[in-house]
Amino acid sequence: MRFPCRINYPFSLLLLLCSVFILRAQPAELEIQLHHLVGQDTLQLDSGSYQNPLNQDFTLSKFRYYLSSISLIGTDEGTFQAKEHHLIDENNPSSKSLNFQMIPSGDYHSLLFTIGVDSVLNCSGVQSGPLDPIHGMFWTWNTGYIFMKVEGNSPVSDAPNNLIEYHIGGYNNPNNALRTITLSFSTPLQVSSGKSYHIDLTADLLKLFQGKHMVDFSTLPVITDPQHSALIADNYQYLFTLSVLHEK
Amino acid sequence: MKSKIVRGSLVTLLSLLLAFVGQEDPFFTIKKKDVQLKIPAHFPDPKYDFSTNPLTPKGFELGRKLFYDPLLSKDSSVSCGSCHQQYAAFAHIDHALAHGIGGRIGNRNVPTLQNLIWKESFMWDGGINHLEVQAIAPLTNPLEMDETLANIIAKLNARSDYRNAFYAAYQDSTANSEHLLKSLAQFMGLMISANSKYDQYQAGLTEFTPEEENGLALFRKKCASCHTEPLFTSTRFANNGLEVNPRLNELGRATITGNQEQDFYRFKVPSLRNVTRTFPYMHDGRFSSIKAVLDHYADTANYSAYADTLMDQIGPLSEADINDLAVFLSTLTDKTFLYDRRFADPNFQRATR
Repeated sequence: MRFPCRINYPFSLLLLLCSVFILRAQPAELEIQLHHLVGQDTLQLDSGSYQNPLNQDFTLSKFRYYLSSISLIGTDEGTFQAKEHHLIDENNPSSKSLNFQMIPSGDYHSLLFTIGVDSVLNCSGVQSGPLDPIHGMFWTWNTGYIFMKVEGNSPVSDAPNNLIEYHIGGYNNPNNALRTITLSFSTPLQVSSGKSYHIDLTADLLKLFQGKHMVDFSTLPVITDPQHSALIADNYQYLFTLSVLHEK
Repeated sequence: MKSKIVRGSLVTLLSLLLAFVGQEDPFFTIKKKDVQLKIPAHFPDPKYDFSTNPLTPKGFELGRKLFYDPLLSKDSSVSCGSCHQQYAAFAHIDHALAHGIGGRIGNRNVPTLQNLIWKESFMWDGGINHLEVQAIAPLTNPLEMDETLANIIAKLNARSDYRNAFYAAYQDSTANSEHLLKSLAQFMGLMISANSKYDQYQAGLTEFTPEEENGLALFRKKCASCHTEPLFTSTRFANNGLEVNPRLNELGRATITGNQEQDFYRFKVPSLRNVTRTFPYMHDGRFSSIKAVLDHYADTANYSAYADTLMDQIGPLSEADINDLAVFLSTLTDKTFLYDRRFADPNFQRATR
């Protein structure tokens, strides 16, 4: 007995697989590029000199923060949420470019993200990757992640070396420094399969020191505990703008 | 006769040979049964969950090697074990305040390391919320080991014995903070003290003397609200009526909560297990004997203005009460734990054996 079709089984399977691959909707990709400004100027660590709204001169030497729960909110309740935490560091340019795959097709009206580290991860022991305590974004004496570090100098600061130092964090009420920001797109972002999208997300660091609370470098040059963190964290909502958005 | 001598010298020669080729001393060898977590029958469920940090002989051995290695301090002079001594239930015997590198003196008395997996928080002020991240504090504190995690990881990765040990424990020869801290948590998490005379009495295996019986009764009436059995700590924070130490800038629990009104000079209630071995006492080691501690509690008129209302339960203590309480407290000494070979410093292998 012969089996004339025998050879054709794997061949037809291959054909079927190929067609499935071609026909299947390819998910879209998204790139978020972060830009750090101080007023109109691009942030230059150590070399740039700036003035806050109280006309106090200052320089900056460090700017790092955690971005998490980055989500696209869809018009018909469809959302995309990335679970990872990202440690954004002005000193590490590649950290300012975030890439997401597998964005489902659909219309999205806003971008949502959290500045800080999810409360559960603050009390679950040692973590790895961006949350590895080796990055120094971790309070060793009062457990919890430092959600944002802003350091520099100002001649009006009476701290040692005229330091200005804001280490913002705290996951427990009433000192919870986690803040979720929602920014709406001017026109809905229409995501189609197989395409790539780019968002420019710009942070103006001057906004860290004004908005809900005015931060005076002469009276409040240093914050390094959860109890005072809200003085900066409450200003986050004014920090970011969605400047450009286009299909690549 | 002759053959006996020959056999005897052969055995001696062989054991000497084995010692020279670095044959593992069984005293320090960690087997699978050594890392089995046994929850004492009279203990509650632990808070720490080993399911995300599975106990293994190699993980435990790595933790022990790290615990006793001064390499982890900035100038390689001080190890965890320098200040946490097994015979003192891993407190620092006869040292009022913690000692760091270069003769630096800290602000607080070294706490014991025992029954850590039942703790909700760590340190006198409870600032640390998880066993795995606890070790970062003494490793990096400028008054203690004053090193950075990044330097520690770099130093470990430069050593072939550590690369081997990390590989043996985690199948990854590159040291990282996760494996560093998890292996330390394995070593410290297994430090369980639950076999004192008190524990044997509770299990009906031994009798108490009349003094011990009376001491336990007094203890339950006057002390147990804070020093709750069977861990002999409520794991909460209390102000036990101590006057503020004017030489230390110390707020206690308020350092963490910022709540000066409620938490000023409140400290974690320490466990009293092995208390005969953990002198001196209190957050600043101000009392050098159990008698001095009990005298403080007996002197109700001299409690500070901040003393917790729970302190009212203590009331007057006679000399006989103090004696019986002290006798009872000595039943909390657990020699099984204090001399458990698993927690001994493996560097003493050649020196003492």
